[in-house]
Amino acid sequence: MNRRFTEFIMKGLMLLSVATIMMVLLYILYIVASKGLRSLSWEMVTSLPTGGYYLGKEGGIANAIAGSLMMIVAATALSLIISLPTALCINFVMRRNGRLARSSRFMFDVLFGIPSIVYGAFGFLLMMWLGVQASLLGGTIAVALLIMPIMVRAIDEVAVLVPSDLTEAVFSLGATRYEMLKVVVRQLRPGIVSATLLAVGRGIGDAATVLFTAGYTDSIPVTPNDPAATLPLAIFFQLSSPVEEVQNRAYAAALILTAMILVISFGVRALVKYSRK
Amino acid sequence: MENILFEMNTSVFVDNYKATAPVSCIENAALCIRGLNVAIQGKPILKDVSFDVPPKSITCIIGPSGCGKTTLLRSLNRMHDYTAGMKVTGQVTIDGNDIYAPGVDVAALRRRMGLLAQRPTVLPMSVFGNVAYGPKLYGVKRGELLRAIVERNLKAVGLWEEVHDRLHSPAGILSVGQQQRLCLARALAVQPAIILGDEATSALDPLATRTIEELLLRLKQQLSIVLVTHTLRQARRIADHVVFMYMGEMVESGSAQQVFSNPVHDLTREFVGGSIG
Ligand SMILES: Nc1ncnc2c1ncn2[C@@H]1O[C@H](COP(=O)(O)OP(=O)(O)OP(=O)(O)O)[C@@H](O)[C@H]1O
Ligand SMILES: [Mg+2]
Repeated sequence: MNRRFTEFIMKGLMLLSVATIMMVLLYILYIVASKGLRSLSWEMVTSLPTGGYYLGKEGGIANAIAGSLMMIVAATALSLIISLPTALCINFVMRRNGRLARSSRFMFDVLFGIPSIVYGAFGFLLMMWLGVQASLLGGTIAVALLIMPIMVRAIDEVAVLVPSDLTEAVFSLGATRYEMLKVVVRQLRPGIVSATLLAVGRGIGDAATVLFTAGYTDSIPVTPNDPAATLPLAIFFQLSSPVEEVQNRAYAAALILTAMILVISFGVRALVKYSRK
Repeated sequence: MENILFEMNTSVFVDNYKATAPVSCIENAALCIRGLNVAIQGKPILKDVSFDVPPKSITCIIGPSGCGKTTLLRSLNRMHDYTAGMKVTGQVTIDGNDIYAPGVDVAALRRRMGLLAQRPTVLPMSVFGNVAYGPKLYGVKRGELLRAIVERNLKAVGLWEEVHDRLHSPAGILSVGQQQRLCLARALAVQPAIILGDEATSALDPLATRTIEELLLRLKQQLSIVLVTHTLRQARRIADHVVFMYMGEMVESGSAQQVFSNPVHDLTREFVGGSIG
């Protein structure tokens, strides 16, 4: 076959796949926006649900917004504190491609593939064992567990690319291993930010993990031991309502969740860019 | 060249360990290498290499590509510690202390020997940050002093004119030749007693090469320099002593005058005469 023709067909197929995915994404956004915008109001973002909220009366989902935010910030911080040293250890303390490092990577891949409901169930078991109620703390731990393998592997992906030339350059100036790792972390900063955002997106939208571990409440949690409402569950509960207005509010809540992820994403990236200067 | 002295904890790299060196080196040898063998996964790269690096002079290591020059240089500051399967035996002593003895503070050792890698690698920070990195590790905090150190060393390598107005740009934007000189400035900034250079001028034009060579000639009044070089002409220009390597073995070492004009070994004669290599 003519090479030019092959080139033409291949290029066409690639463009077609991109266009298909874009269309599906835009359609999702369109559905969420068109249904959600009808019920979206300032009141919904700022006020707590009243007694009749779930029947279509006034109120909002500030409880779920606050709960989700608190939980994702705490869970991401907790997860990062564990994931970063883990990824560094796999790459710079263990032999990068040695047996130990490879089996660690495999283990995190397995953890990565475990469905979130299993993390929820495990977290629930753990809490019963420790005598902890469904709470902000419980949800935070379960979400942290869920996103940890994601963060480890995402940081690892960029850490394997750090050339030994760099670590050796630092060592040859008389740095200790810890000092070398600090330089490496600088080099990895963009990758760490991406990993964090990936984890935030995954963690903030997951319903199954928080179902048993965080519970649900109409108020904003004050202490870690209070139960906490979350947006995914708010969407879930409202969508299961027979009242149409309440169903539309579910889409509005989905819109809020999407907007939050976008704001966090762009916000963090802008902040990183700004802090570089 | 006098250098700006900064206060530092002059740590001794050997902990109560003084090698009862059975080796007979020349007096005041900066480095004394005896029976050095390096093998990777059982395959020998260096075989029984022995020579002395006289103090306050330039020792050039020459030899055809792949003969083990880089491997030799890297074993002088224990860079092979991180290469899996690399085994180093034999003795390398500095001031009578074996650097491969147990209990050696490797970081403090490296601090005394600046290594310029064959591929220049800048640290992921600004031009200023690169040069200031070493001094900062050793406790220089005063901004004024740091600036003076940075300026002095950048001037020494002939880079100041080119970068003084973008000291705070990322070092990665410099050209390869500029990066090579930056790495030299960075190594000089920690005031090493020995400089190990692996093709330190490979990316430089004749003019910049001359700047570096003149710098090395000035530096040798204060410190000892071991230079791997590809260009025989460079060795002829600046070497006081020459070590000729061939297929992992040290064939001949001696004063530059002797090796170049009256080599003992046939292989050396052919190499310096240009018929092999
Ligand atoms: N990490 C390693 N693993 C396997 N082989 C290695 C390793 N490092 C060096 N070698 C081998 O050792 C030999 C010597 O390599 P070395 O880099 O020391 O040569 P060189 O004299 O510096 O060459 P050049 O002048 O091209 O830089 C080569 O055959 C190389 O393949
Ligand atoms: Mg080499």
